[in-house]
Amino acid sequence: MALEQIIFLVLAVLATISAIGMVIMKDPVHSALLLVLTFFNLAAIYLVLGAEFIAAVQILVYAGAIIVLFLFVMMLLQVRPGPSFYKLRFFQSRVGPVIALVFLAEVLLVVFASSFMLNGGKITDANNTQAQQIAANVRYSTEGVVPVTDANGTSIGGTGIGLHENVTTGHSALLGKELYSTFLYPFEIASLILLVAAIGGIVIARRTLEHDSGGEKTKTEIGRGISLSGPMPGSPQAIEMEELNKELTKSTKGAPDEERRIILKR
Amino acid sequence: MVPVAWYLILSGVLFSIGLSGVLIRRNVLVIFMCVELMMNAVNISLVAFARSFKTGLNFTGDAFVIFVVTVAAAEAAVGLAIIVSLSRQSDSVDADQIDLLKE
Repeated sequence: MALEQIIFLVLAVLATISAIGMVIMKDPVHSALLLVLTFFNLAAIYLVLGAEFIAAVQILVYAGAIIVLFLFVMMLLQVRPGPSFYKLRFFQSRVGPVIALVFLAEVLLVVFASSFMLNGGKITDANNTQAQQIAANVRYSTEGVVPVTDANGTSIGGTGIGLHENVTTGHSALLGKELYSTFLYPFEIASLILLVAAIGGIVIARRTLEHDSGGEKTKTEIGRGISLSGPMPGSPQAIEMEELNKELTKSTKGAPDEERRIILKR
Repeated sequence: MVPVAWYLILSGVLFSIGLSGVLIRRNVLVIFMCVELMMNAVNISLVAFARSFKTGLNFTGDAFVIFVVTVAAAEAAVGLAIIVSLSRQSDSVDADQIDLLKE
């Protein structure tokens, strides 16, 4: 067994174990941390595949941004550990895994029944052998597909690096070239999606005025989203604050104007 | 050289784990994380397929992965915003407690 395969197997087993742990863990925070472990293993698997840019994106975006976002929301909402895996309702805890296993069986059936396994893992069809012959005679660079040999038959360009023997540039350069040429319109639409998501996230998570203003508005509540200075609504601190406010207004109601201002200032 | 089938099996296993998590768990946040795991499983098979075809410049699968990651990030931002505003209303992140449309 080649070293590459051993590395892949170790990474795959680690990723699977931490993914299972993520589903089983009671505490959502532990689930999130195990998910980070899964993502790191998957990033290493991308490296085995020769896709270093996607490996970097995997760590930066998933482990660095999305999971941190999850952890922040957990911190803000004060999530408590849920019920143990075995104390869930019958339908959920028993039928759910069965459905997932049926799905897995379908996937494995397709994988083993198709030609992937029979041809030593290589997809072969009538066109592909021809394509491989073409691929042997060209190299991939940022200039596009260039022939390896010039008209006289002498070879041009150095020896290749990367997954294919005759790739002269790294994966990132080629992917960037591809993204900005073939996939230019999808790329721009993706930026639009991100903009819409950012605005949508702010609008949805924003505290609405009608919802909060039972009687009077405190300074932190007016026209702001999640206020970092004020306590979360519903939390003990917020209830305490509300009661304090009520008391203040009650106590100042009877008092003359001058005195009321002094008390409120405190 | 790792066979493509291995990547596909890993992808299927991770997708099934994510699927079972979505079906089993009741915490909305964990369900969300399982959806992210399922997207990652699909990404692996996309890159593996892109590598298995040796025709021309095969970066379609890789580019697709970039777009999937973009959509996942957007989805996480909007989804977490929805969770925050939901938990403000019902003070819970339990999927069974969120039944506003039932009543």
